[in-house]
Amino acid sequence: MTVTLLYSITGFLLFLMGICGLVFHHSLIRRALALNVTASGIFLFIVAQAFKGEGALPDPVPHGLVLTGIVIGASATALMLYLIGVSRFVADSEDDSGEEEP
Amino acid sequence: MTIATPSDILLCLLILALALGVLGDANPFRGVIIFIVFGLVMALSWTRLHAPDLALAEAALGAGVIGVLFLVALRQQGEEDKARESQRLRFNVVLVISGLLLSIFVFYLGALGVFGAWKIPGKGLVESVYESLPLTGVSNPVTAVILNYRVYDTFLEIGVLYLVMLAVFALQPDCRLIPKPAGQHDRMLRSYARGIVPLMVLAAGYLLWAGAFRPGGAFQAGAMLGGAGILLHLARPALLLNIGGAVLRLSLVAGLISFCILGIVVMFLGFNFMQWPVQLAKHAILLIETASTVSIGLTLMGLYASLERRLITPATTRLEREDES
Repeated sequence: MTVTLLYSITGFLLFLMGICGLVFHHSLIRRALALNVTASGIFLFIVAQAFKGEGALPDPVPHGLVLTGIVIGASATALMLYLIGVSRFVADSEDDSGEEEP
Repeated sequence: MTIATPSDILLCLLILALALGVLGDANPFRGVIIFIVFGLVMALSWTRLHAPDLALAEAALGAGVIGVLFLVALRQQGEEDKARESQRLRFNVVLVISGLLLSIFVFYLGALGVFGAWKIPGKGLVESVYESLPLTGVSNPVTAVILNYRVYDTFLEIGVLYLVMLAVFALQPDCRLIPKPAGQHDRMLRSYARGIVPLMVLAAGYLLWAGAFRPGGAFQAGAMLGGAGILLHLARPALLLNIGGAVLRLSLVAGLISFCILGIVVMFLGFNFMQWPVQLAKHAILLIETASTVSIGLTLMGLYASLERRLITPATTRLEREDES
């Protein structure tokens, strides 16, 4: 088995596991975690394709793509977590107003 | 092609086991901690795949900043949420079966030769990247790809970062980066921050400069600066208030603005939008990288500060509402 194939399969399995976690978890935060695992799987798959053997130089174009992907993924996760917090706050305040009215 | 060694197989198994821990652990807090370890092991596998630039970014962002954000998000949960979320993933069997079925299906497709169409003919872009490297002004191929060959993509990605920050700001009760004191009276944290933050800023500066000829660059330096900012925010929240709103906002958009200005300046010299002239390429890239580093660092820190603030907001606004009534 070559290195590229091994890491491609690992990336693919990570992707599958992440998707399963995304579907089956009820908690939003854990879904965000699962989404991050999915993204890692995709990155691993792409970078495995860029690996050209022990002595050879790797393909820098996929590296550039994945590098920006990691940064965008981090900021998207921050937005996700922020919106999760906002949604909980909105749900809380709606509960409060429902209790106060009667 | 290189044949996989036992250590490769071990690394892959470790990654998969950690991912299972992230997704399947009953305790969400433990899941986040395992996720941080998962990020570090991913950084190890980037190094194995000859991608040290990615390893730096993953260690700083994937393991560091994202982990901290998740920990903050977990802390702000209510008790009933916690009880609900500590349920173990009951669908382990479903997960395994669906995974197996999908894998068999995909390998069946692979055996049919469907994936053969994905293969890049010849050597792909490797040779052309290295051939025109002397014209880019930098000798690190990844930096050349990000800030010269595909600079337009990076421009848009910095724009995405800015949009995320804008969205979070728009949802704030009042749009100032007011950090609420979290560990203000923690002397240990303060003295630790006093020692480590200057070193982190120095390391960020080194990563920024080194990005031209060895692994490093704006994203890694920005992540490092963001980490330093988060630590500073935890230790001395009042320090950032002194910077002032206009300077802070200008620094947040500095990356995006520098891309726009330099992109248009080269048009006056007779080039296309963002087509760096060979003599000026090095300076243009350095300028953009410096501005982007500051922007990325501040954005990450601002996102953290906003999340932290959200932790306090529900209670305080409720109190304020009571005061008004």
